[in-house]
Amino acid sequence: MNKSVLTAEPVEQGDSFFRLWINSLNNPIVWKNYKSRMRIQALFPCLLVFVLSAFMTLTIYYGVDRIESNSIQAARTAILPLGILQWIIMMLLATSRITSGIIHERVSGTIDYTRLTPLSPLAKVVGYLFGLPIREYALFIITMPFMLFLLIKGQIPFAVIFSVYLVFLSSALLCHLIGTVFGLVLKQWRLSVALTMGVVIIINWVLPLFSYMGFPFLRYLTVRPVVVEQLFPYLSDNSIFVVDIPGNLFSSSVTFFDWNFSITGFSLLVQCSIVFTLGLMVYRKWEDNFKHALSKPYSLAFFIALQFFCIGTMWPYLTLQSSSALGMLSSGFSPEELAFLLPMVYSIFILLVAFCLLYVITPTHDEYREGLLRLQKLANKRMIESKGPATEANENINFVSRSLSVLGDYSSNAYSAGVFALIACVLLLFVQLLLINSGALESVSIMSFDFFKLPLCVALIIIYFAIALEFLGIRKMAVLLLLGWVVPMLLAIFIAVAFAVEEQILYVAALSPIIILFLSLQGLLDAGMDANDFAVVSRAFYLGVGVTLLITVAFAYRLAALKRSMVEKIALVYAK
Amino acid sequence: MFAFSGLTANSEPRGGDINKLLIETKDLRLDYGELTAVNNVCLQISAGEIYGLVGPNGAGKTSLLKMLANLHTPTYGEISICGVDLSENPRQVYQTIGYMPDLSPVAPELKVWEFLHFFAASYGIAASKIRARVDSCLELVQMQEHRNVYGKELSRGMMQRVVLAKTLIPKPRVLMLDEPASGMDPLARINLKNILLTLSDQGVTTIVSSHILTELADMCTSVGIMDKGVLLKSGAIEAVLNESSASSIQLSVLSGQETALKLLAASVNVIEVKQHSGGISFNFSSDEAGLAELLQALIAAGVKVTGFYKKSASMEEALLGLVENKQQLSGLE
Repeated sequence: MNKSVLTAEPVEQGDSFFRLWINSLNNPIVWKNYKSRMRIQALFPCLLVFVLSAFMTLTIYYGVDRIESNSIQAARTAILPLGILQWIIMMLLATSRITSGIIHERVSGTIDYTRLTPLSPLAKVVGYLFGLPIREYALFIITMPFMLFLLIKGQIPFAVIFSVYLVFLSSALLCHLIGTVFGLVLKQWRLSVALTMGVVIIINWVLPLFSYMGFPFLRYLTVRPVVVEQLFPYLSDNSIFVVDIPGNLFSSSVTFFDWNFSITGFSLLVQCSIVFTLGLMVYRKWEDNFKHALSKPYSLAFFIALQFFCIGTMWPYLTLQSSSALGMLSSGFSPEELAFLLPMVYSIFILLVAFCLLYVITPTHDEYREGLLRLQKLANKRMIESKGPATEANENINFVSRSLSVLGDYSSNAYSAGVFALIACVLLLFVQLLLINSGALESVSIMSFDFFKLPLCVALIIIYFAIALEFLGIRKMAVLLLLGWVVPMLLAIFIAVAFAVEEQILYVAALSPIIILFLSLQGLLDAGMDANDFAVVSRAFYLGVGVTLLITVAFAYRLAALKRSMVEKIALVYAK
Repeated sequence: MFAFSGLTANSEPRGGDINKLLIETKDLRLDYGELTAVNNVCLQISAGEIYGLVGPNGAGKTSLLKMLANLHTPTYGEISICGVDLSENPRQVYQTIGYMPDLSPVAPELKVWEFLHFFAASYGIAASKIRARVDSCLELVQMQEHRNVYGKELSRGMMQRVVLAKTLIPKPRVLMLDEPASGMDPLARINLKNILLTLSDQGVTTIVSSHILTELADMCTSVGIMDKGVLLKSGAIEAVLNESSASSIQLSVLSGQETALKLLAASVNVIEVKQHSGGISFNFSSDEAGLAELLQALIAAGVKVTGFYKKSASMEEALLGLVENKQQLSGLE
């Protein structure tokens, strides 16, 4: 036996590890995936993609060239179909491969081996991000000679190619990181892969549609604006088989507040900020699997950054410099007529972002209990060091209650939710003020309560969601969302349809927090409403707010009692 | 089978050097919701020790090992490995530990050598040395013939051996093995034992949890008995077994068995007298002097004693005794 094999000695380790592993070519995780995914079995998908790419490129190119006798136009015609194939490979296949690969390792347990290697968290992030979809990268590279052939034959300038592919790769990275996050968080293989593919499709095809309904910011998460801005001018009309979108929605630059950015630059800015955040989430998970994916301070900062991007891109509409505030919906309306909808659209964005971030930072009861136990241990240590063992339960309770950091992972989300609500309230007031200043909401007085209805309503909904989520946990919260948020709306629709009742259904629907959001808009358009309708909407609004407030207070009271009993239980045990 | 040449020449005796604590835990606790899986465990394990962790299912052995490997964060408590605080600098600790989980998986789509190569590279072993290291570790676990076999084609026992090889790749100073022998054939188990003994001689500290207690008794220098998250007993294996209430005295006689039984029944220190084909066994609650007096009394009464010795409890008996005692105590409370 070679006895030296067993000789215990530390392996050489130095600071150069960082530099070594960041280079993905030297990353063992990439190497491992290269070995496992680039065997003979990879030949078939490679051949398939090669054959498909060759068929699409050559058939379209020579077909169009034969008919139109224009080789430049023929090459340009084939660019988009081949681009879609590349999109499918890099966005759909690669992202779902990342999710399924990570979940497979988690279920089998081999991910724990990697977790215990001394590779840095960054090396692990890089390794999984570029290692798992290595076959898909190869498939993408196989399509590139055909694409280059088309781009060269089509005489597309290098600057255009560079911009499009830069944003394409940045967008792919964003999707891959989403896949990584899903892989590290979700547990069921099939569900996760389906969810990942669904999210990729939503980001690329559904969210951009919302950008034409008041969320211009969302379209820059994809490569589409850059393709439209930079590539479409070179393509023939025949080759652009996309929805006919009003021309005024596409411009050569992005107006962000009062600045103008290039679409490429702005897309990269938005995508990189989200890539950074997703990367940070994955990094934290690799660093410590039991940490929350985002810390409370970072989630607050990210919330503010997203609002900054959103308001920045809405700026021309808020200041009435642009008439297409709601994109396709704006057709036939003046900006003033639809201005009251902008705060509502924005408040929906705020709520969705706040809900997602609150979900990430909200501790479970077990996590809160763990935090208390750790503090109790600390309390005992301090007391023993200073004046002997703790004997007074109250002394313990006070220490533990005081010491759980409000920004720690295990502390309640109440303070963060309060800050989210405050920020949301302030930003909505700001947006409404802008609209009033620009003359779009001139009938609204900032001294009236109507002016505060929507912001306060959004703040209340955020707090309601946060408290309910922390008290109930995610599963029970899902039931509450269905029964308490969705069912009242559906019930109201059913009653309206089945019994032709109008007024009463508003009271039923108002039980859902989603509906009170819409009812709160009444504050912004009361001048145009019939007095009777106004009274009904007003009553329904106050009923909805009352019920929501009541539920929030009830949950808050029970949550506080639960937490208090946890603190007392732990403190009493240790005071014995 | 390997010949462990030069094993006896090692300077460091088995049993550990108490001055070099390699693993130390303080008040270690792990909660899963309301369930406390590990409760206030304090361990001190020295260099070169082979520490056996025994206990029934659900005792908290795997949870304890996972906390030591940083796969679970303790609810509270401190873990120090090779003098490094695990919570402060986990990556430094990863360099020194080798962890082998229960039912260890091997990446199914990788060949055995590729699986090991990956870990060698991950631990920063120079590319030029990786092949030699991989081959040596494969040879050690007697899997060199299977180096080109895919993970998915390995049997359970072979997987265990490959993962053991993986665990040895970085030359860890601390080994944590969770049921390492499960699925292994007898020869592989003997090989495992020999590997651990060799490592122990070289100062490597091993914590091994197993249900095959007789094997643990053969190789462990110290043992910890766990039940329901609590470390009931911990220490040198002889001490733990001797302290166990299950220790009994074996008496064999040529004649005068009836007299002997009467005498034993009359003694206040004798409990649980049992007759069997080999003679009589009983538990004795007094000290060595009391035992000598009892022997003297037997001989004086005309009993022809051919054997009178103290039989140490087996690991199973020690475990059963401690767990039963704990259950009785908790029943009384």
